[in-house]
Amino acid sequence: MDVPAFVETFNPIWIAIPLFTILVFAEMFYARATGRARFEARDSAASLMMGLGNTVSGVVFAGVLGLWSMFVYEHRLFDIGFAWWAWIVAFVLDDFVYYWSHRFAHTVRWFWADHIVHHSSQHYNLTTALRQPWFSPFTLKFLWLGSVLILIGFHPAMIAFVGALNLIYQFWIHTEAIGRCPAWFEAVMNTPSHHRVHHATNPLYLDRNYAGVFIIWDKMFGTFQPELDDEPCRYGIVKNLGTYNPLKISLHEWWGIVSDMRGARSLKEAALYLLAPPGWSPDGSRATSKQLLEKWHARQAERARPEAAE
Amino acid sequence: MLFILILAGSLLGIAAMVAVNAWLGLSEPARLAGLDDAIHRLDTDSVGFEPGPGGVVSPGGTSALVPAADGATIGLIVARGSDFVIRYLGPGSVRSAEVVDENKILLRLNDFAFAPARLGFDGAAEARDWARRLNGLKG
Repeated sequence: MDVPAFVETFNPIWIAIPLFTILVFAEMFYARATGRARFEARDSAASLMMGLGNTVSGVVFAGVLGLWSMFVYEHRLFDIGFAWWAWIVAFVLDDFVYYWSHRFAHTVRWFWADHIVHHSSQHYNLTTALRQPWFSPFTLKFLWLGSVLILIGFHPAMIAFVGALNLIYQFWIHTEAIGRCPAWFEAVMNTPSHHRVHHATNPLYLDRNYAGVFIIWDKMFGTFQPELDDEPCRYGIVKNLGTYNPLKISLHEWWGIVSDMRGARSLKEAALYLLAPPGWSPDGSRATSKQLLEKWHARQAERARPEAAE
Repeated sequence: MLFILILAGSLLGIAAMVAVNAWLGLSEPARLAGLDDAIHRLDTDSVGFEPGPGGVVSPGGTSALVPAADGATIGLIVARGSDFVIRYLGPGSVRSAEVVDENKILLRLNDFAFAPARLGFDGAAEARDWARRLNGLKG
């Protein structure tokens, strides 16, 4: 099948990088002028270095991922081709797959070990968007979730292209500089407000709003949470990092998994340290997002009780 | 060759962004307002922290140590840049707590992602006492 020439020669990410740079500078000057965005130089440096490392990692692993994609495509179920409508369907389906991939990235510790990198900043600005993991292929997600659309019959180049557009869309939503967008837009699309919730560690906000481009997936599958004025977002991870070292940022959760598994008392316990939701522990000494939310709800109810009695 | 050039250009771009970031002075160093502030932060972080007696905040508000009411853990807050990092220290979580400059403790944790921290105290005796308590949590 002939791949359109522009798909082979044009990578939207490379075009987007200068735009990203200009927007980061713009957000910094906006922060200076209005105070409506927060930056910390070392945090930004760490995020940007993570972004650069992610790009290098993409180049290093491109061969393996490309070969795997072509192997799957040779065994595709349908011949979808490059008709105009196929691009639209691919973009929407890719976003649907992204939702589930992202959801697993938060609910299975093995995948979280990779994705936690993106959440590890206590700041929420455009540099946070670029804080990306270096070792994503090690999760092996590309073998199944990353290949499902190719197996159906979408060309790997098309999936790579729409995937890049998806990531470019997600850049601008990593900001506190934009409050809320028009209601119709907030209803359908992922926005800075929805994604601030996703990056927040408030128990009410944990593991919510997994969307990439369309927020409708969260509304459909029960994971949507609007940003509330009386619950300001606190960004980062449940156990925030105390380092700006990119290598430690990359590896800390993998290290945690290995340490936990080494101390496991049974094979089942070791497997759960790897595959259970982040925060799981056999003795309950840590807390998962669900447990933190239950604790928070119990606390809210307790606080409301004296008022109710009055 | 092109890849190396792109890489070098990217590093230059990153350096420029960080330099402008620092030059604009966009962040204030994090400081605790007092012990109540420290307890409030621990309480919010852990969704329920019951403080025991004897909590201390460093003179500059850059760190705090607050024993939990049940005596099982010590809440630690350390300023890192414009934010705070929180840990709950229990048995085995401390690698070393060494008194330095008379009234400071250099604290190292058995925690891959926690860089060594300097905790300040009002006096040398207080620093020595806390070093002893923290070293009791060595693992």
